[in-house]
Amino acid sequence: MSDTAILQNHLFVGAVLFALGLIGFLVRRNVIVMFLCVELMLQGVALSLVSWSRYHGDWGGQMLVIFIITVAACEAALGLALVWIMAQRGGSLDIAIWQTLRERDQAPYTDREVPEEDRSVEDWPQLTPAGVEPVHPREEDMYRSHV
Amino acid sequence: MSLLLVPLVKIAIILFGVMTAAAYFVLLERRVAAWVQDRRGPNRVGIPGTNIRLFGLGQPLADGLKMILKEEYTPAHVDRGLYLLAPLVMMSAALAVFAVIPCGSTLPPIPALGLQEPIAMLVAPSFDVGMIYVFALSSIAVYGVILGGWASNSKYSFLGGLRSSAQLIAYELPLGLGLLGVVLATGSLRLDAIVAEQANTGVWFALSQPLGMLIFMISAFAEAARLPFDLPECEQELVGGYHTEYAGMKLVVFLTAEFIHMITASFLISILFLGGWHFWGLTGNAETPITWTLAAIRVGVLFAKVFAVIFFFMMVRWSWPRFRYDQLLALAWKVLLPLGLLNLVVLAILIEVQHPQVAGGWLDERFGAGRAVVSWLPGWLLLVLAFMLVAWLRPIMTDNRPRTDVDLLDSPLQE
Amino acid sequence: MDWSGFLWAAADSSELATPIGPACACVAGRLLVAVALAALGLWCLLALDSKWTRRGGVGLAAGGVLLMASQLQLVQPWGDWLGFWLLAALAVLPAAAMIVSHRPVYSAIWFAVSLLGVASLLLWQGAQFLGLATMVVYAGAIVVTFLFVLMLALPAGYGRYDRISWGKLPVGVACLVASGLVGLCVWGLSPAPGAAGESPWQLAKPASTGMLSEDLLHPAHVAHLGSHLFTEYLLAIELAGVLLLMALVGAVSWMAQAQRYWQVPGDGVERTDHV
Repeated sequence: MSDTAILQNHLFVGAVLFALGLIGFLVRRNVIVMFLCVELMLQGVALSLVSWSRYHGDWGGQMLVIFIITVAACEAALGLALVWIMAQRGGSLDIAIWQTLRERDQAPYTDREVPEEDRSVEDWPQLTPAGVEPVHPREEDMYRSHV
Repeated sequence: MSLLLVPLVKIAIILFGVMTAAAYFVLLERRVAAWVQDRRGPNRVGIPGTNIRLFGLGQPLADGLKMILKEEYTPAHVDRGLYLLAPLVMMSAALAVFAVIPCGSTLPPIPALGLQEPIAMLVAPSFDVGMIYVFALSSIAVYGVILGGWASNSKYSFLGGLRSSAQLIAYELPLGLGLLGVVLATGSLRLDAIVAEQANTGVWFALSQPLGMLIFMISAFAEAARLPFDLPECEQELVGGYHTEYAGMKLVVFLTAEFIHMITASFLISILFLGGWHFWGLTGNAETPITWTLAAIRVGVLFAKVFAVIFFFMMVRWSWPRFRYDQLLALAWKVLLPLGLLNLVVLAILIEVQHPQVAGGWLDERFGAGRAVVSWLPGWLLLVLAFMLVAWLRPIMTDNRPRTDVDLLDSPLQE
Repeated sequence: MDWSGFLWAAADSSELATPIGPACACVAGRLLVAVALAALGLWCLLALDSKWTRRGGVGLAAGGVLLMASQLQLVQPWGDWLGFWLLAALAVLPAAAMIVSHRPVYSAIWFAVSLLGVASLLLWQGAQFLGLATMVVYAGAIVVTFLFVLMLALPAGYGRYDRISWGKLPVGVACLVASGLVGLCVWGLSPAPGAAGESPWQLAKPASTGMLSEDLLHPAHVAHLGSHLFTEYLLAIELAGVLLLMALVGAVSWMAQAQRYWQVPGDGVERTDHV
């Protein structure tokens, strides 16, 4: 029956989205990308809910998705405010810098040492000193590989 | 197959019409600007290759050719994927809105082509959530601005992009609130249903919901980034804003997308508040059976209104100075949003009161034929009250006189 | 070696009575292969970083997912089937690109594209308001806020922590677990042999496809949605409004506190918080 086929295929897509979000949340280290993966999981769930709602002819699924959207908006607002404050205090959006977050009387537990960034080799843009015309390589004048 | 053919024909007509209109409205803008500034605008380019001037109607063709033939380089420091994506996103969002905007009412059936039903002059007539689709696309247009600013990899572009997108997002809310009164009065989100409601009662929503119309118009000006909300494109502050690093065809796409936003805003104002294709005495109401003459008159009326609103947009641009950025956002969040909420609450109460089971019957008995006029009055009272409220709470926004409390000679601006 | 028996016990399925025959083990075998392929492909994409592993990863993951999808019932008219799978690809492929991309801004953009796909699928299901509300709220407001914070907090565009992950083994385990979950879902949905068209988990039959579906798929969708929302679910929607207000007040108050924290005392700049 086509209703069942529609349901199955949509549930599959919802499951794949949820699984991708799950993998992304566990694997990535950037706080905001982790947040985006949470939202992706919510999307997978929303798709499944709407599929069930259509299959059973029940409005409850769509209502729950409305509330999912609402709650996701609230959580994005509050979460991003927190992330911003954390980024200002920690200096970067890496979640590994907060590994040692703990209660006052607990010993710090570090899962994996974050390697120190090698700041000696900074890749700053090189500007030519004013007043001196830079050397123009002939090849660049004759042929440009892209516009 | 004819199921697919009719929408495709409509889409082709709309795309062609909108792009040509955008080009010719640029010419109109330059002529109107010239008229306001007491000079002539472009009036020399007529038929290409000849000396015939033709009021400068060949100017858009010349401008288009110039922009296409300009050297189009991609600076080495830009983020190439997003740099290419930004104008595309903005243009697609701007054009896709026309899928739900009616360009007339309906056309009579054409049995020769196999079309037995009246043809709606709307690409997607059975889309029940028309207005939300418009909002979705104006939200997508914000992406073009943000990505253009970020991809350009330069300070001015980035700041300009952030400021423009904050402005666009801030004004989406009052846009929605000004619209909600109309939706409440109609009971539907579909634009053709809203026009039909205005046609049936004969009372345009500009007459019965003036505060809503004012809020919607101000927000539409801001959403189209037209003066006085012009910061995204003012040169004095931001060089070029988010389109500083763009040249050639991509810049044309950005500018055309902005113009199409203006055209969309004019269509929406005409349809939502100025009655759409309806004119008293000329066009009948929604139940009148459609003939080719009536359809043509309706299309003419709608386009005349859209033209008038666009003319108003252009006159406003050359009449008023632009807002400072903090004033702009304060207007959105601290004035228009509360007024929009007030408008919604009061209109909801009024519409409930006019329901037949509450007081509608009493109103009919008391006023009879004048009931339409009586139903307008609370809207205007609300407008006056709202103005008084704003004048009391934020007098600086309603008072136009030069300030005498600040001694300009001692201000740091003079140093 | 009755793996299916183990899985039945794990799912605590006292009401499931479908017999499990040899043909079912074939489906389970195919699904195990598909799960392994998908997990391997995603692991290659996420943990390794060369041109060939990227291409190989895409191929393997796509192969695994397609193999899983082939166990489901086909959507009937081929036009519908094609349309559905195009929109599903529009939803899934950008999602995969999002978790794999090294630049966070591109991740956010891919997420917005995936939202476009999800919104189209919701529209396909007849949930017109929800599809467009997803676009307005999610793609138009939430992802834009994400982009703002990303662009302001990470002006360089990416950090070193975006290129390395937690290590190859945890990534592999995560991919395996997630693919296993999807495989389990497909196994539950796919028809068990012998029980004509019934799935092992015995999907509850819809109560009556008559009146309820007419209400749900009615052309005047928003009117029906609104009537149910404001009668049956009135309390919930009022609470949702209160929740939004709380979130707004909370976010603004946090940022105000943070501003005071960042104030440098004594620099002579008078900071006010009103226009």
